[in-house]
Amino acid sequence: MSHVLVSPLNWGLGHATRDIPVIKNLLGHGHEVTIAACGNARSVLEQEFPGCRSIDFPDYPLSFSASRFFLPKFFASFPLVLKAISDERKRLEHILAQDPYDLIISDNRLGVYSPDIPSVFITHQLHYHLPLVFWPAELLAVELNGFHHGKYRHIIVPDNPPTQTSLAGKLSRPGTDVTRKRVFFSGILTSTRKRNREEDLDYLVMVSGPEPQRTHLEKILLDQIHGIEGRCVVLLGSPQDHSLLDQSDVCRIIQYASTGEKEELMNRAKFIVCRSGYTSMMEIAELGKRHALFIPTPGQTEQEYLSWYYGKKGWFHSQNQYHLDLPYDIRVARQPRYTGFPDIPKTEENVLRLYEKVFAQYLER
Amino acid sequence: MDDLVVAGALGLIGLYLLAVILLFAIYTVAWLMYRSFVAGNFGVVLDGILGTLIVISLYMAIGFWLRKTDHI
Repeated sequence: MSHVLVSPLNWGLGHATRDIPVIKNLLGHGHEVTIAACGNARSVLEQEFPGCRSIDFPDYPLSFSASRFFLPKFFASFPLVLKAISDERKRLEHILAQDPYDLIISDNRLGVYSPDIPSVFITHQLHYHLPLVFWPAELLAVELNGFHHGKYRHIIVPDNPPTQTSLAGKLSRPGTDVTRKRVFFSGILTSTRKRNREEDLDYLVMVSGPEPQRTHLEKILLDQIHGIEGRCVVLLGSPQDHSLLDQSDVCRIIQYASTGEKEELMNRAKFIVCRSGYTSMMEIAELGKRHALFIPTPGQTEQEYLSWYYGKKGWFHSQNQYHLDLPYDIRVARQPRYTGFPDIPKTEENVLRLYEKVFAQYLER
Repeated sequence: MDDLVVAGALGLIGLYLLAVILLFAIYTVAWLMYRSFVAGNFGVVLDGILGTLIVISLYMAIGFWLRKTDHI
């Protein structure tokens, strides 16, 4: 039995939830897993794996802007992030001194690696997309990524290789030889499972993502939701208030649903309205949903790029939240020219291959 | 100190230094054009506007080309 340290970033729950199938697979092979995380990411993994040891391991501050101008604030926060990475490196040394580990899995935590222990890095962004005016920074980021990837034995990308079925497009395209030598395209990784459920829900509208943009979208969608016809559930994704707001037969508005409840609703939905975050994209691909409308978080260049990319590929329609006309955009999204994601290998198969091709060489010696 | 942190710090210093140089260049050109305008030297003003437009166009053209050729 080997010992694995798994450390996901706590910027949203996407990093923690995509690690769930990986951790399940490691436990299934009889290995011991220690979770090093903070905040909601740690809580989710503690609930999912009560038998695993969990260490509080703070990560980086991230300030989201209330306006569309997210990037300037993001750049200004770099010194704080750098200080946090420096602290993270010191804390990691302390954690590694306490117990022996055979493998370190860092999910987007830049400072989690060791020169003495095999370390792998999980990310779907090998290439950052920035507005055209910042093209020198985009080029520079490719080189910086290459420098950082050199610290790891493998870079695991939860996407298909850069072919016609790549879900992340240019984001998952390696830009340097250092990255190319280490990259392993695992295919999608998500904790959401396809269930044998009747699709009896016409629309599932999921309002998620960082504040204050989540609240802005909630207001925009609730103002327009009565313009659509059919059974509808609106999931507000705000865990502060667990009360059920509306119980009408046609449209139910739910403040917060657990991971299991959300999975159930997604399985039952014929049409999904959500942000174009990569975690949601993997969930939709896993469930094989063909009809959806995406609303990228303003200023989040990754989501804006994915929305553009899916439109260009003819997979899904997206609309900016400031120009959203829900009934009209749903009609557009239902047009036959939008085909949904192509058929791709699913998580269960991907996680088995990931273990065989990457983890086994370090854990079964 | 950890080399990742050192590389990050150097990158940050470079980025902010570049921003300062850029702002200084914008200030210098704007000041030169203002002084020329006040002095009635409109040829210099026109040259300044033309030069600025050429530099911005070239900069954006390189960006477009990089994106079109899938470099970024």
